[in-house]
Amino acid sequence: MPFVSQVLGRAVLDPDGSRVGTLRDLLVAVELPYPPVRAVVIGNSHLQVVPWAEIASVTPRATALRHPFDRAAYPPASDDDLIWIGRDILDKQIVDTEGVKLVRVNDVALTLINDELRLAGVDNSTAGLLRRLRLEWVAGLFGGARPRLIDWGQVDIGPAVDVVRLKVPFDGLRRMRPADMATVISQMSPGKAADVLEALDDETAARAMAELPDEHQAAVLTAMEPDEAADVLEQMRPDDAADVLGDVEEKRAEELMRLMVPKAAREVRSLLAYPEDTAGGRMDTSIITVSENDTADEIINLLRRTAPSEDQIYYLYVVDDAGHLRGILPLRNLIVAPPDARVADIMHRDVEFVRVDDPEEQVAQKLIRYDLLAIPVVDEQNRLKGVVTVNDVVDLVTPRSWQNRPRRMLG
Amino acid sequence: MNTTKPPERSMAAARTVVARMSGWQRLMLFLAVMGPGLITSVVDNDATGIAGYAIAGTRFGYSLLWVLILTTLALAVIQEMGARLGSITGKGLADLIRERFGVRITALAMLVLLIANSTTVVAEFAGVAGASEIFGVSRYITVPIAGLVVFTVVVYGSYRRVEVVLLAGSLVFLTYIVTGFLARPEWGAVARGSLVPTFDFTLPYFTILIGLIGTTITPWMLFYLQSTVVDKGLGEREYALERLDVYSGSVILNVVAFFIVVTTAATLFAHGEPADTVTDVARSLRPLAGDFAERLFAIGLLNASLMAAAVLPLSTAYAVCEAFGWERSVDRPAREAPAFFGLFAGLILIGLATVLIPGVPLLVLLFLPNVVGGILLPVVLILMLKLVNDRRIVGQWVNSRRQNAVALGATIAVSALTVAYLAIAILSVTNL
Repeated sequence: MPFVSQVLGRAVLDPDGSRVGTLRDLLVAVELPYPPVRAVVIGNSHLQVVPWAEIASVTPRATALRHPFDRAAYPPASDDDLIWIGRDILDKQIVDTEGVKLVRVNDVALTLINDELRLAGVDNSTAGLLRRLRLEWVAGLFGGARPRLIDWGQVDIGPAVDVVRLKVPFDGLRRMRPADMATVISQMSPGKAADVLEALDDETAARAMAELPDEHQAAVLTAMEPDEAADVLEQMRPDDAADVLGDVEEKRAEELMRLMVPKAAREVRSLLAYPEDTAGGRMDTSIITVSENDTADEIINLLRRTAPSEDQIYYLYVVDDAGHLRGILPLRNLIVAPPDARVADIMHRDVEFVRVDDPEEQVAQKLIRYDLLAIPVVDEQNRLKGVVTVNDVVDLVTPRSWQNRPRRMLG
Repeated sequence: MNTTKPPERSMAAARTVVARMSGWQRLMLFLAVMGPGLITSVVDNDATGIAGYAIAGTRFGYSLLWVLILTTLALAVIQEMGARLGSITGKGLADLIRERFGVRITALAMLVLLIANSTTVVAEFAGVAGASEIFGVSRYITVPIAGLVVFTVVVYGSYRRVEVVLLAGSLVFLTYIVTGFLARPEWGAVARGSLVPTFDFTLPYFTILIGLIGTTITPWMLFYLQSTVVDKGLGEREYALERLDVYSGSVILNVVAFFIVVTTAATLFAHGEPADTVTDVARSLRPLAGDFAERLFAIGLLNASLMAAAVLPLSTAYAVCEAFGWERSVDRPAREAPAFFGLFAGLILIGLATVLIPGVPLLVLLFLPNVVGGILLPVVLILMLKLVNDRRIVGQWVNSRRQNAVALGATIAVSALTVAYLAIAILSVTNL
């Protein structure tokens, strides 16, 4: 199985064995699995594109043509040709979707299947680096470092290639879980990360954005086109959106909130009023409130109709007309109750809660001490303002090394 | 029964963003505004810089000041190119070199960077040694401690927090501006030295001349500046501010350099005193602070050395790993990023060990990287010029003709000086 570095730069020969030029690059159709080489670039005085059908063989010794080379028959190479392996992929950074990281392409492995030359995988090993430098003997000194191949099926070349040149940009990234996607995106420069988020649908982009490390969020959001950024913010939970906007430069944050739909912007604005490291700054405002006089049946119907997210559904909060917290109603109690049971009879009245200005550490401690999934947040008048879930403070209770951290030069 | 009623608060949102910031974050905001250009310039006035400027002033008086005027212009244009490459592409210099020129040129560029930066790291520890000897403490105690401190702070602490202290400490060198006036230089001679280029075709003159350029425009700073721009996520939108930042950084750096030359020229050169040791150079601060001068100088030197001793190994390891696609981060355990930690720790150890060789002349170690850097600089400059003129990489943001003229002029001038220097060096050696 030859590598691209072993065939590029070698002679291209006519059927009679005379040299007509040098193999400069391979052009592939990347939208296909294990992309086939569709044409090659031959260089003598200038670069010309020769279709694959004209090529008899490509080996590390030389590339052989099927018919005598007719210089006038082939077009000069241009920018809008297919993806060039040497120019567009070699030495660039791509995504290893299984390894969940950005890797540098040291070399690309080729394989011949049914007369078609196809890309088999990416070599990002030091052995590949030494092969490129023609220093394989160095690897020999260390007991012959073996190339480490990443199967082409698990790479996404999106970060290497201009978005407009791909039919489906970031196809591989899209299939990753949001948390993994965020790990990869956090390794990219803010500008590239912004390209990725803009290419994704708003909902996926919002989930990835929410998973990005704080330091990276603001930089990426700033790098995005304002209207795209606003769309993504609308899809985020208000508390997550407020977290991000809190780190963005003030003028920019204002601009983005103006571009958001008014309702979402209003929620975010109200959250921004609380300091970031308090219960108010951490809380989620999208909660389900019920009244003491509702019946179990009514509430289950409501839940069916509104289909709330799983974050919201485990605890329902019971408030009076003025919004004062009266109790909580666990989903379990609701389901096991008879249909006509009143909330007042099945709710817990003795509720742990925190105040909007309680420090975040205290919130985390309460959640852990009482083994809660979520804790309601109230203001000085005991009015319900939101809820902090374990997920919101998980970064306070997990070791720093478990969290996604961007690769920065100076931490 | 209602769902999701958002709590209302009628607070002016304009105040909210800042209200949410802790005191620490506000300081960071200030530093963010202060910007990569200024920070790079401050780090660039490291031990080698101070030695380079002081020796130039001591040996040749005011006659080399014109070089600083030219390097200010060249530095501003070249740093702006780096900042532009960083903001437009969002990629570090090592990254761009690898993607545009392939593996072999990258290997060459990284070799250049490693050689230049090793000598510079050695010089920073020589700066620590020099400072400690002014205080009368043996370098065999202070230098290992300094190495340990630098390593620990970077790996286990937060360099960004320490950076603030070090940046504040570097204000000591602003005292050179005051000293420059107090030393009562002959302003006529200063003006003449600044405006009238003079040449002297001797080895010492060329050594100092190349050193003066080499300490101001260094290979590492080009990598460091661009990485910092990328790290901070400064993009096209912030570019106008970023340009202002690098320009002001270049000017401030050279103003300090200018006054170090003027001060040493007015004191040591005027009185015909030699500058053979670091303590000699420290004495030049006397007009300002009397006997206290030496200590003031030592504090500034120690501070500058420590800052650069932290930044240099780190940015070198970062650039090399970026270029070759190796895991790079101080946040990951060493076994996950062996090359990164190996390079980082290796450079610090080389620095330590060299300075601890008995009888090694500190001032030579301090000056060596200026010459080495000056000789290797054209390699990096040529690569940068090709990148910043490539429309596939920066689009419409290619260099203007004037920018190319200055940058190319500087590259040719430095190359020509290097050739001349090597020729003179070979001639004078064979004459011996």
